Amino acid sequence: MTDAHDTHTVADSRGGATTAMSIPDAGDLAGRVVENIETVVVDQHDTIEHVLTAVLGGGHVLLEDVPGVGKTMLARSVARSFDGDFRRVQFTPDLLPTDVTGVNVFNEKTREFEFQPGPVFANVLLADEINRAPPKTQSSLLEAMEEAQVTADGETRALPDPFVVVATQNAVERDRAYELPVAELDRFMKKLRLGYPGREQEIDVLDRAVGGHPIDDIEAVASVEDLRRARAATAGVEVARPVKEYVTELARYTRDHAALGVSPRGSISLLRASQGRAVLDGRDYVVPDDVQAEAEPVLAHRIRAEAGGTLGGEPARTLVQRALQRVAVE
Amino acid sequence: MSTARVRDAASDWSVSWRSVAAGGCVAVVVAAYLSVLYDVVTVVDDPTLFVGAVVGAVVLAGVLRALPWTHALGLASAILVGGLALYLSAVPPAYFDALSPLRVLQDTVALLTGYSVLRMPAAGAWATAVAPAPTFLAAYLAFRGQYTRAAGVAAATLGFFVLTGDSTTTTTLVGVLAAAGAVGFGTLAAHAASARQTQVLTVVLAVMVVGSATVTAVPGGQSPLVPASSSNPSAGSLVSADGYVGVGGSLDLDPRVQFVVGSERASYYRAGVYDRYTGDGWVRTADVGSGTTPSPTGERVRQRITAERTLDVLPSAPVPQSVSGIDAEVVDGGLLVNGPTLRSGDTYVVESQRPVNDSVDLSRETGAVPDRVAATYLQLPDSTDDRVVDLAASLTEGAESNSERAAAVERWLEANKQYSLDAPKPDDDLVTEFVLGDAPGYCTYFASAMTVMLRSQGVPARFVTGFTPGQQVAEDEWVVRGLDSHAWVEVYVPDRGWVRFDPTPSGERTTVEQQRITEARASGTEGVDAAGSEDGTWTPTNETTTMTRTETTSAGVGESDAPTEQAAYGVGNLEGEGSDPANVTPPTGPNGATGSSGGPTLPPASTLLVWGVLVGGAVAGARYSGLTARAYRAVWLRWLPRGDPREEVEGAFERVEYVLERQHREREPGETVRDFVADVRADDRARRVAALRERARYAGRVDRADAAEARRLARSLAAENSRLPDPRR
Repeated sequence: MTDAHDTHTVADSRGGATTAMSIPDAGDLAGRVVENIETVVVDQHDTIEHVLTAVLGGGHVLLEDVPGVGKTMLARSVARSFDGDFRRVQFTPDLLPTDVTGVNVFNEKTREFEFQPGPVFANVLLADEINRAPPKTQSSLLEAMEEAQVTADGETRALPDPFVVVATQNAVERDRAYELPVAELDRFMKKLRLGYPGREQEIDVLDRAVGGHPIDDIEAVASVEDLRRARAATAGVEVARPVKEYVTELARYTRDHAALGVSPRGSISLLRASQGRAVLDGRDYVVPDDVQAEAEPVLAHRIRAEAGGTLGGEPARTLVQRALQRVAVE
Repeated sequence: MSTARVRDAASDWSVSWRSVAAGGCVAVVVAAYLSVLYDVVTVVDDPTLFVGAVVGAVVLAGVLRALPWTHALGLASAILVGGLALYLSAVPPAYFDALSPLRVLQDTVALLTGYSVLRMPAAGAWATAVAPAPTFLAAYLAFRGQYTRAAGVAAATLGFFVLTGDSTTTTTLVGVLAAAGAVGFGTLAAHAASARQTQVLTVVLAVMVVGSATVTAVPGGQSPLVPASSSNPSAGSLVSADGYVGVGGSLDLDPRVQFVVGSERASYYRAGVYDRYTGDGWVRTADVGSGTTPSPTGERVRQRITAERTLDVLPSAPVPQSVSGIDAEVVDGGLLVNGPTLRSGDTYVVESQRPVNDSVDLSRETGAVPDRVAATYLQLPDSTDDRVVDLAASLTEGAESNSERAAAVERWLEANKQYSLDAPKPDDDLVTEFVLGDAPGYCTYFASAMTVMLRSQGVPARFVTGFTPGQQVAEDEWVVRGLDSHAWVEVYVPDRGWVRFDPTPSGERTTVEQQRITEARASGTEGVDAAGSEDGTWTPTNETTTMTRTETTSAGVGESDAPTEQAAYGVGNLEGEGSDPANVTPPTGPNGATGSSGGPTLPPASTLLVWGVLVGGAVAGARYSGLTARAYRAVWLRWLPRGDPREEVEGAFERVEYVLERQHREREPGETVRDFVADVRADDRARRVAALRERARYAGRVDRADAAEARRLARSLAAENSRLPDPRR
């Protein structure tokens, strides 16, 4: 299936050749998936929606938080909600790039080298604790994420469509982790945090976990084909000039007020996420409210608020909030 | 960022703009007192030298603006002293005879208490002498950017002319406004003030206009908002104690009785004698009594005059010799002066002696005219037209004596000029326009014209105001009304003195006067009659027309006996006095110079300027209070744009948003419409319009029906919002 696409078409991870479904259908689909995931992940409605809009918008998601709050659970739930290929890679300091992308091995029978696809050849790739792997391995994900293809021994292979990376990283034990390079961080459409559940919700979590874990019971509610068509529909969502102007002004504001502001790629990501948000709302055009809903998770991790500071973090989120207050909605 | 730059540029611009405004205001104050001086100069002299001196002073100030201010002050003083020295050299030496420090002090006090500059000897030379110094100083300070001090210098100078009474109300107001404006704008420019402060200043200036026009402590003070009322309803008699009379404009004379005269014979009663003609009025200068007038040789007449209402003049038959009953002086000019203001019922008795008896033939008197008389009574203003002079020359051709020339001019005026109280106010020189034009005039027109024409032919003549004999109510009693006030001419006859001539044709004015008295009686005006005048004119048993008879007599009073004279004069008096004439002496009031306007001419520039300040203040006040913005919003709210459906929806939404913001709060810059509408709990109509607008704006889907719906909803929301909306900040 994937081989049938030429590299260019595949490079467009949103599957231009697929017939788009109608916007209401796409919205319904997204709603079903959200509901489905909520049966597993408690009290994370907003985060789940954000993951969904990123998936619809053709982006990848980075989940960052302390261990044990359900990052992996969320990623698995998303993957399981579709009936596509799901792979998981536990990133460790000794993980090699080929462990991710795949390797050419010599087939004794055929006397030829044969490509053994790595875990990256999947519809949903869960890159667990991505910041534990060394930069070289991390960067092997780079090409895959941006271009939906991998190159091994000079040969370029397209990845399946859709291809979604859901990475998690630990916010603790920083000294034992490799900070993600700026370029790679920029390639994640969103960085999300889950946070601890509330008291009642935590009890709820415990209730569900006793006996059998609900993740084992989760079933796919949409096919990969549905997802492709929903993403095609999302790509067709109307973005009027005032909205583009608004997004541009937001990006410019961050550049004027931070050491490192939002790149044009960031602006594009914001628009695509906003399109996803519009679909989730069953609407075929983007309104500034969509942009505002998506702005913080899409923009904050691309901003270095102060010179010498780290990317993202509280100052960057504050700056995004301030941009939303100051930049006039026309 | 960029807006801040724009604001900086705007404030730079407004600073320089206010400097220009302050400089302009200083220029207006300077122009105000210069206009007063210019008027003085044009009356007696050629203004070229004056203009040259003023321009020179300004140029000098521009050249020397780098001079230290102490030096500049010294230079200004030197200019003033030098100018006054030059002036003294121009004054006839005779004035120095009586010159003493006390006299100088008295003169200064006199000037500062309303003694018009015009009444000074060689007034034109004086004006030219004093003008450059303050002009230099004001211009010097203005060039240095010290607008407040410049305005102070100019305003002080103007203030001097306010005290002398030469500055008209309007000129003064313009000067005061400009001085306030100079101080205000100068201060604002120095502190780079905001537009709102400029608006406040403009409002203050306008309030000054309104205040001075509505709250006046000066009775009879004219409002500068109207170019001097075209009639003088308050002028009871039009004879004033003032040293100035303006001429021109229609008149509405008081039909009420002014005084009652007990006398053996009828007579004209003099109240004012004027020697200097300004082109639009007459001034009594210090020279009025100058020169040796031959002693009267005529009959003596005793009059008992009883005021019927307040009188500020003391009429008397010429030439008064003594007065009793009141404390007053008889001056050389032949007037009673320094007397009290008479209240109703006050009485005084005047002994007069006529200059000559009727029987004397004056046409033979061709003697020499004394120099002082010639110097004073041959003055003509610059504005006198050559054609008037030529006409007078042709009229008096062949006449050998002054009285013959006077009679010729008098005949011509009576025969060729129309009489009307509704005479138009002349635009320029009164005499020129009256003599050469077709417009009618009344007594002051006639008397002025005759005086000017005679003077142009070397005949000393003067302008006299007073009263005609009035209505005879008994054998020895006459009632004189405001309507009887009159102006005539006195001609100097060598060796005889001042002889009365009256060029006003009395035919038409008779009708007018009778009509007005009848009207006044009909309308129940009080005081129209006194001493039985309502019973009609006293008629001697053997007379058919008493007045005719008395007038014939009165015509002779103080007049020549020459047959020609008698005939010429007699005709006029027969007609005029016979029906209780009341010709007019000119309008009174210190503002005579502004005069009154009869025609549909544009108001004078100063009035327009005052109006301009008023309108400017009103506009600034409206802006300051946000009224214009409110009015605009009110219209804007109800007037929805038509055209492209998308624009219509957008326009409808703007109105709805505005209504919501007024009802609740402003929409924050970063607040989306959805959030705003939800947060203020807008009603369904507003939400619907917002939704239509959102779709039109962000999806580009809109049609005629949507536009119509949005307009309808917006209009219904705006209609509930009927109160005048607050300005949107």
